[in-house]
Amino acid sequence: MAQTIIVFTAVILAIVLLIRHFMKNKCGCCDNKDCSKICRYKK
Amino acid sequence: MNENKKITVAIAGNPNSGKSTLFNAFTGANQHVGNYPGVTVEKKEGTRKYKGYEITFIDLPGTYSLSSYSEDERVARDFLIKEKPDMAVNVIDASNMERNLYLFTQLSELDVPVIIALNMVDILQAQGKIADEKALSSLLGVPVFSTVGNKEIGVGNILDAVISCASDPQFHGKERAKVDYGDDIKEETDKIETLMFGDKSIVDLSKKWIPVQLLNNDPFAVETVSGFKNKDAILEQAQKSGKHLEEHFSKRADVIIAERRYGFAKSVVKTVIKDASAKKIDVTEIIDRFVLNKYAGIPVFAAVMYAIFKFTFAASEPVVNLFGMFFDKLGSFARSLFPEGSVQSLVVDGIIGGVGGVLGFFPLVLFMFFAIAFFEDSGYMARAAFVMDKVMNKFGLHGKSFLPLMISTNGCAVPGFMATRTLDSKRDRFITMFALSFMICGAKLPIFALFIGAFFPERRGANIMFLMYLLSICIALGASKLLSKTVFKGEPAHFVIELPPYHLPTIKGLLLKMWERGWLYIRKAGTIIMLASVIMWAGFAYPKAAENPDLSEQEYAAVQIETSIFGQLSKFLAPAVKPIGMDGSIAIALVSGLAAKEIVVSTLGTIYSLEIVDSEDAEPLKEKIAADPKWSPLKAMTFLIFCMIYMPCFAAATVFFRETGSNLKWLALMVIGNTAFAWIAAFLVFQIGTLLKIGV
Repeated sequence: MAQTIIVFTAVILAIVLLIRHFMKNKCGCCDNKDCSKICRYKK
Repeated sequence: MNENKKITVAIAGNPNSGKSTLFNAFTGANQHVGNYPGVTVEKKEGTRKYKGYEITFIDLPGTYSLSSYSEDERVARDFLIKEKPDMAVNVIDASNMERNLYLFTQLSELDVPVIIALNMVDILQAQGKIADEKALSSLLGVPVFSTVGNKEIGVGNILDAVISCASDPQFHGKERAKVDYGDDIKEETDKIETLMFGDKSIVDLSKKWIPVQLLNNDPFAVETVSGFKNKDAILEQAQKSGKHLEEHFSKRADVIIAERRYGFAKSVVKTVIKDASAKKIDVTEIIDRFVLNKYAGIPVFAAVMYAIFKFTFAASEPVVNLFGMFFDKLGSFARSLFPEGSVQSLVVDGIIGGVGGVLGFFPLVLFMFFAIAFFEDSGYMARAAFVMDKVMNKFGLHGKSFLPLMISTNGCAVPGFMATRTLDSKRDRFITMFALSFMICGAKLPIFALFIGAFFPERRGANIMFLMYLLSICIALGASKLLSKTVFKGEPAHFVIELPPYHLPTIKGLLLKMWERGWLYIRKAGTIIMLASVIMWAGFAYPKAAENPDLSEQEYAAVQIETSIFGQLSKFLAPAVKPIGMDGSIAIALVSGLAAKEIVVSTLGTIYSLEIVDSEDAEPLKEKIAADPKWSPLKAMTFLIFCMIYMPCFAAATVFFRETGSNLKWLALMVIGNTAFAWIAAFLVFQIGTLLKIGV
């Protein structure tokens, strides 16, 4: 039971963080330095 | 000027003049990157505490002039005029002094207080020449100091000069050399200047500069004048003067002005540059004679690319194997650490199996970045763009397209798409963006390394990788040709590129560049790939299959994958990928790759990790794939061709969408077009290969 809770939390957390990652990067890009600069200009 | 002992210094200069290297030498690590308001031009600022002063350096964008022809030029000019730094350090490439002095002529006309950093004097010396800095200083009326930015030679002299000029009340108003445009032009500029006399708005600007720029058709000058009281009279006079000069010289006024500025620069160079007694061999010229040769240029480029792959594969192989073994051992260790169950599977099969599969190729990526950085820093990549211009033109691409294509190949398609902004015509931009969606980006590299490592080992690996890159270039060129003949008809614009002198790259510079790009790879593995691995693992691990005592552990693992959500989903996808030799779980891996292409590898890592139930069986992913009977060299090749061509990841597709004017039509063409093309190409390869029994 404990294992199931841990795994379930981890998966939900992964989904939330992944969505957040894509939402946070407005330009939808990776962590590439060149484009994060451009993201900044866009704001 | 220096209240509280603070000094602001703008660093101005041509691209490739070593401006940023000097900026780094001045400021060390005390710098930050921002942006100029409202534009997409980077603003680098740094401070240096020196002899009781706090000097703020602003690295202006590299420009050839201060007109309004590009955003960079506008930004540099506006900063000098509006922000009014205490002075500017004009970095001049000593080995290209004539062209570099063109910018100085404009700084001088703008009455900007200037110190000249005569940079790269070592290269000038290598060309068998020396620059007389005293003569240059007296000719131009500004302090001049020789520097070698990458060796930090002369940096102290510039800093001392900044302080002494800042403390000198005469420095600002000092007369600096200006171009003598001749009586005819002077007569006309005087007429304009007279009309401007008395206008208070002109206080901020040089009275000499505006009339010249009006004759130069500079929109900024026109805009400035439009705020003046007698703007109509000024603009009318400027038009009349321009017309008069054109009739007189049979040339446009802006052409005559540019000629006079270059004439000035030429005469300065003639006076200050002297041949050294013992003329040294100009290495750049000798290498270029061969590298830029009409016939040898392209084979040399191909050889360089081949050398990059050969080096990458040969040098990284032992380290990649070590990394693979490390993650296997880590998996076994973690398996022993956690009690058997879901958490153990999540950590071992999901996280270590997934992320480890991608991180296992970290050394390969590092070696590749190192090799590419070597050729970039040496000055060869500019030559490659020059050599490739002719080929690119034949396929409807522009010479400038080379840079975005290389950025995409060396790293990521996202900055590649962004870099197409350097292309002036919409047609060239769009074709380049479509072309670069086919390139093998850094994220696809682990997929290629994995399958090439599994099925084409030893020496053939580098050759196959090189051939795959060539194939991606051919596909990109073919697609460009097709697009230029159908959707985007027209001729590419002309191409001008500066060829900097060759440098021997510094180890520190190469390692920094390699690490900067490599770090992104690790960050991506630790964030998006790890998160996706957890989700992919859950998709293959749940719901749980009913326990069956008749099945062996191995058989049960296979049933589990089949029962899982993704296992069920893969049954739907299976018919679509069967004609290209793949099964449903591979299709799932391909779909997962849309979040980031490395996830194709991490998903395969998770699937194969779930299938292995005995920790003793643990072996690197490529060995598991090589041993799996459902794969063959032909299937691996088909899979790689599909991966090469099918639609890019979400991030790249989003940027593509925005950079093509947020038009769904182009996005649909790329997403559907690329994927359909990938399927057809993979189908042909697989079916023909099966028919001819090649690699089956």
